Amino acid sequence: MSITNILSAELNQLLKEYFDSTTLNNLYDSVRDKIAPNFSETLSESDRKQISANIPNGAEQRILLDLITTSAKKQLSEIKYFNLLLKFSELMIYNGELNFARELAEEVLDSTKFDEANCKLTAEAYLISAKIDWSQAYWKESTQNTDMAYEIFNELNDKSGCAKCENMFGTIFGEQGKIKQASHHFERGLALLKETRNSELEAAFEVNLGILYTMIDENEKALNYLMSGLEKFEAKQDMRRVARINHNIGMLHLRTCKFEEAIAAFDICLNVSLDFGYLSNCAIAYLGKAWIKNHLGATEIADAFTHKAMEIAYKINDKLSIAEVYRIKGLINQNMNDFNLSEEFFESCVRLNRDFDNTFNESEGNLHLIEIYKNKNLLDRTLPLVKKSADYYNQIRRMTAG
Amino acid sequence: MSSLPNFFIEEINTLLSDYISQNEISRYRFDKVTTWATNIDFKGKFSLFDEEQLNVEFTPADDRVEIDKIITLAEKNFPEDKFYDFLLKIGQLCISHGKMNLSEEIFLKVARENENNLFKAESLFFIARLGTKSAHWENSERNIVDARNLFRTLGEKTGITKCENLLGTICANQGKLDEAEKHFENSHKLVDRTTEVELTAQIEMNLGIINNIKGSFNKAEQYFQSSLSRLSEVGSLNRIAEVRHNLGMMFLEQSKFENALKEFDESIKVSIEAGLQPMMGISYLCKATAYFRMNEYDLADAFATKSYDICYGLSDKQSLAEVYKIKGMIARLRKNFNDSENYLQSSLRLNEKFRDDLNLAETSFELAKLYGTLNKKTEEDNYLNQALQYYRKIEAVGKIKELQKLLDNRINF
Repeated sequence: MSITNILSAELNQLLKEYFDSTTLNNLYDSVRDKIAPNFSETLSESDRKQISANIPNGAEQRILLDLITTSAKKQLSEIKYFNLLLKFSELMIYNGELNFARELAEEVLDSTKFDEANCKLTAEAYLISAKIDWSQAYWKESTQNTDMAYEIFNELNDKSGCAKCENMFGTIFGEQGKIKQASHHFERGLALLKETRNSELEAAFEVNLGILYTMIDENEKALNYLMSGLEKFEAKQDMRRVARINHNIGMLHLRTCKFEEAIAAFDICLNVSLDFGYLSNCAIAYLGKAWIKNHLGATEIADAFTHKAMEIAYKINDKLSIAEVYRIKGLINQNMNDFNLSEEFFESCVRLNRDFDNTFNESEGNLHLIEIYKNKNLLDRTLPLVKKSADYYNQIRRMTAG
Repeated sequence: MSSLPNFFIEEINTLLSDYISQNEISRYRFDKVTTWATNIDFKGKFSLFDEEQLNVEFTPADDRVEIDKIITLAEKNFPEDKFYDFLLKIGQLCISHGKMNLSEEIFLKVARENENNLFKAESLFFIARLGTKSAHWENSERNIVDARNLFRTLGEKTGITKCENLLGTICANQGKLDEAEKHFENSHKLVDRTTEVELTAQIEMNLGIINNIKGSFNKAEQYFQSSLSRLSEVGSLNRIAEVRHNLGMMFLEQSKFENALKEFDESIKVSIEAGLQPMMGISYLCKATAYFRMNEYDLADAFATKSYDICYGLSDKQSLAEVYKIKGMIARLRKNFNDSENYLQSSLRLNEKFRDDLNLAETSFELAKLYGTLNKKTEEDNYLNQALQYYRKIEAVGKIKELQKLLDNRINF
């Protein structure tokens, strides 16, 4: 039994209070029937496995960790216990169980924030909280938590801790498409690392620089950084990072139209992540594959991958990936010449990216809308969008030139 | 089949090895968790009615696509005031249907994009309400105070009443019954009973809950019936399901199990029809308690497991702690004493975080029973005394007498 259609009926009822029926019919072409994918195209074994992957609901993971935590609290020293909670919290971020991850980090924060002896743990907990906020596009909260962590690490003269914070600041700006600020923080972080030896953190910086160079199309530099980071994390057998960097490499290949290489990298990311339950990696890798499949004309499979990405992105509350789902849905429908539906998806993509201050993705979404408006001969609508996008891309270009 | 990822347990194992020895790790019995949801094969074992309730499924992602599309259209087409009013309605709908993250996102958007007006106050109020559902008491109180200040500036009496009522809910959730009752009584005085029918009914239901916990069943029933008759007037399905559930709780407290089950089923029926996940999660949980007290342990286990799945998705942590308590009680009666201890201790640990005195009292009492069964007298005494302290804190007179008598008999013996 499923109860999902009830909300749809209630929504329609609510909409009737706000729209007259003619406007409603014109505006609201129910997407529900078009949400579920229906594919007849031949699937490879690997694609079939990925599309039909069972997404854990997280309840069983919580039960296991709750029971372990209860025993551990009785057996471990306080510091060891809090460290374990932070490790669990980090793992839960990768597994997309963000509410549980926050609960674990909060327990450490609540227990240590007035305890000078454990202030390093407090700083670590703030940094993990920042990561949880970041993954849900809560930039302000993420920045505040990173600030709190930085202040403590700085007082402790902990250079690695400060570098980790710079990395987080850079990541926050990078995710919003503020490349200049992101680059500034990565540089500051790397400078801090010169004074201390932390190969893992160095690799993390390399990967983030790789991502940044991908965004501004400095592909050779990007690939060098990503490969170097990958090598280091492979040596440490850090599968979370290995999977994520493979996604980043896939994105780089995608931007340079090396589709086979891109698919191979996305597949590594997906296969590792599905096995370990790293849902946050899965959503974006599914999206990468969906974009390529659509670009190559396999729209039904692309739709199926997008649907899977949405299932995960919704579960882990990854709003930027949800916006990206709408962008790909827009592209798929554009490919199928359904320009009205395509426009609606692009508009939702732009709205979400605007709501969550992601200028880079908002501009990309606007470019798609411009194309649709041109197709529909609505040229007056294109002008403000062209100006807005041009302003942003000029900004990036200036930064690259500098 | 377990829904754990293939290598999840392996990864946890590796992670734990930095903290404890392999011998210790082997005590964790990872298999226990993988059988959590699968050890109850209820096919053909339970009534078709119960089986149907246990088989309800959700597909939440599709709903989000639809809601996003609607919001985008509304933002493009509505004047500003109409748009924010619409967002507040959609956000409330999302709460009822258990889409907590999405509703938070919507209310935050309203709060962020409005300054010092009714929309900001309303959005802060709903953000506070969301906080109560995930036991974030401080954040919740902070947001209520901000909302109430804005409502006061605007002279919005209904808003102030809603805030007072929500403050009562926060106190009640922490077992501060007297404080909660004061807030509810204040809001009962403030509310305009002619125009604010649903809010009046909600306040009366809350007064019923407090009276039920305090053992004043007649008074509780009067409040619930009055609330129900008001809600029938306005046809609010969500609230009707809540009152039905609370009537069930009242019967459960009086050990009138058949009546309790009837009310829980009524609540579940309405909740399924209207897609009200938060209400379903709680009613399944209480149905599990009723079955437990009727010695129907398989059914109790199945309903508790289903409740956990629903409440986990809603981040309703207080209910998760409650499920651990019931699982612990069932395990004790099935003589799985290690499991029982771990579940009950997990429940206690979570409730300590929520500072939920009532649940702390009940779980401590259950632990005392477990240690009594195991003949661990010191632990039994400790937890009996701990339970007594918590019951004293919330002034649960009946329970205090019961425990005091139990402890006195032990000393005399």
